[in-house]
Amino acid sequence: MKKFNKVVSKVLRIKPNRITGSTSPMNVKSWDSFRGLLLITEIEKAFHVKFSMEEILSLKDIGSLKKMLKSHGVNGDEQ
Amino acid sequence: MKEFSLSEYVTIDRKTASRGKKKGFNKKIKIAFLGSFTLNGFREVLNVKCHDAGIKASFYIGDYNQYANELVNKDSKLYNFEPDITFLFVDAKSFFGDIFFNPYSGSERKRMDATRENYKKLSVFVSAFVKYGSGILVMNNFEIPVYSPIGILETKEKFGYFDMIKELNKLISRFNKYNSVFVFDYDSFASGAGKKNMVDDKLLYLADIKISLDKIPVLCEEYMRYIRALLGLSRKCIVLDMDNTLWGGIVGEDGLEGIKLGPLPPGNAYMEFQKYLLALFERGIILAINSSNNEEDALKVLREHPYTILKEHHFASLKINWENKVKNLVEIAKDINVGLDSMIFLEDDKRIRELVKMALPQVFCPDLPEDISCYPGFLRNIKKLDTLQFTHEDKKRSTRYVAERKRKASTGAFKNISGYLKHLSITVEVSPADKFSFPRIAQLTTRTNQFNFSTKRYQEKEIERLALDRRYGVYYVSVKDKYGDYGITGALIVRKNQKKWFVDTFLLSCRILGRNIEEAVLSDLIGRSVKAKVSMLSASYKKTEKNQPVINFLKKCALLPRKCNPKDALITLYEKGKTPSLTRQIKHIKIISK
Repeated sequence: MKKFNKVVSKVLRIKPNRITGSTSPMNVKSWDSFRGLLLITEIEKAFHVKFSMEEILSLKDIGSLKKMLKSHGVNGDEQ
Repeated sequence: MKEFSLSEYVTIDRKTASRGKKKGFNKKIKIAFLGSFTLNGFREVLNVKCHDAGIKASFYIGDYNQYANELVNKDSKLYNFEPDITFLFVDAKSFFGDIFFNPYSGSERKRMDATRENYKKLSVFVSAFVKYGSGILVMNNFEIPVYSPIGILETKEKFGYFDMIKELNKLISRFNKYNSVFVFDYDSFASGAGKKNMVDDKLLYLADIKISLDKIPVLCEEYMRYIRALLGLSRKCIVLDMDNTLWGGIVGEDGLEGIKLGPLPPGNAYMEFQKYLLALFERGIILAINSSNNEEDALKVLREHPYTILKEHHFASLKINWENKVKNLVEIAKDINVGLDSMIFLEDDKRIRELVKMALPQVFCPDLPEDISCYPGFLRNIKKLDTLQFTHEDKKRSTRYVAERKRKASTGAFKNISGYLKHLSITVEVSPADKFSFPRIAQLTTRTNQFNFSTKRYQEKEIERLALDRRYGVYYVSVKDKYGDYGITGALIVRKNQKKWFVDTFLLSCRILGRNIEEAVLSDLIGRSVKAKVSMLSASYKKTEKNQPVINFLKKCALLPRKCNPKDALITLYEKGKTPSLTRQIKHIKIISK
């Protein structure tokens, strides 16, 4: 499994095959504000990146999280 | 003792929630959490940690920054929850307000006033808790900052910015006068963890989380010390291996001169390890030995080595033999009469540790570090030895267990028990309770299960109230013999109506049973009744799972018919004109009645 999906699935407790670009707090019950912060800190740890506060504030869904990672030079779709 | 990350705890917490119903819990606890900021994560971590310790925890987490209302309002959700333990975490920034950012906008006077005012504010909260609350309150003190707007001049100020917080922390320690309030030294915790890493600025500004998520599990581990102590789950006894644990090398092969123990490395690490163990002994932790050795070789080190800190007289039990170490541990537990679940076993051999973990999972048998230089630090980090009270008796506990070993060793020399008892030259002292003995008497009522007539539990406050009430007599029993002082090991509470006395509580610690001390105390009580011209002295007995020794005692004294096994009974201990003859059994005991 891709590292990215593994982290998301673990923190949000959803099945990896349910994760798409439009997965967001709107359609995942467990994704509350605290879980969102946990997700970000775990992604940061897993890929050795640090997001800025403004990046985090602009986060809407998994798609935008992947874009954020890309701007830090990480491709979340790769192994 | 590896710590998980917060996110792992959150994941495990979900699983334990569904698993929880199946697991048999030994203990239950209600935990409340109050704070000045977002408290996410604490519940999950504490829940998992409690679950692992066999504790079923339920929680009340206060709303964001509502701690003041919760504490002062006696009908608050907090008090309705009736917690056993309440944690209060208020951060200096939100508590001090503007002066925290701009401490030098005003004079020294202003800083002092702000500090005193803040103390008053806290006093209101804390005394409200003492009045309305249940259980205990554990409150953090404040983290002393490391940055000052006046930079290097900070230390020149007479009452500067840092002094405000330091002074408030000093004032906060006054709350320790309340038995139900404990101050957690958060400043010292933060120093240890690194103040620079205590806050994650991004989370602080995004979500007002004033402690880094990485630090929440570490802080919760500190909080667990209070929970374990409160529920009586702390460990009391450290059992030690000898070769490569107390010293380097193998004494049977390297000889007394060859082992590594002394001022030079690596012997210095072993020596300091022993020094930390001695300090634990001095505070009442029982020490014992479980070693594979020829007894004389190993004892020679304790008796003759110039640098050994621990001597033979520090150990309550010494099993030095070629037996299985698991068997030895079981025997040590029996020897000193502590549960296996009160024991820690420190052993350098991994294979033996694995055996012990498998055979005796109740014993805490941690993996010692490979490197001896890490031993002292490892020992300092074992956070399972805490108690909420520290009475004189607790301090002397380890010494008493050593006296018990010597006492037992002398049993063999006597043909019969009465010769042995005579040899012990026991002194029993019965005295009216005073303010020094209140905490210990209360502790005895909560801990004594075997020789306890009514098993009524009392808090220190209640003992004090009864002792000051003229209608009651509260007495404590202290015992010593030629091998040592047992300290306060019994208590009596007597309700005194004009001509009739009624024994509300009569208890003796199991450590002193079987030496006719029971009879001695009863005879003293009867003596007091006679002196006060009382017509009848009676006591209520209430059967529990554990207090059969009381029935045995009553039968032995012919105060209860042989075939009678009551659940509840009112026992007549003395009636004017009919004195039970107790004197024969207690000839060997000296009774001092105060």
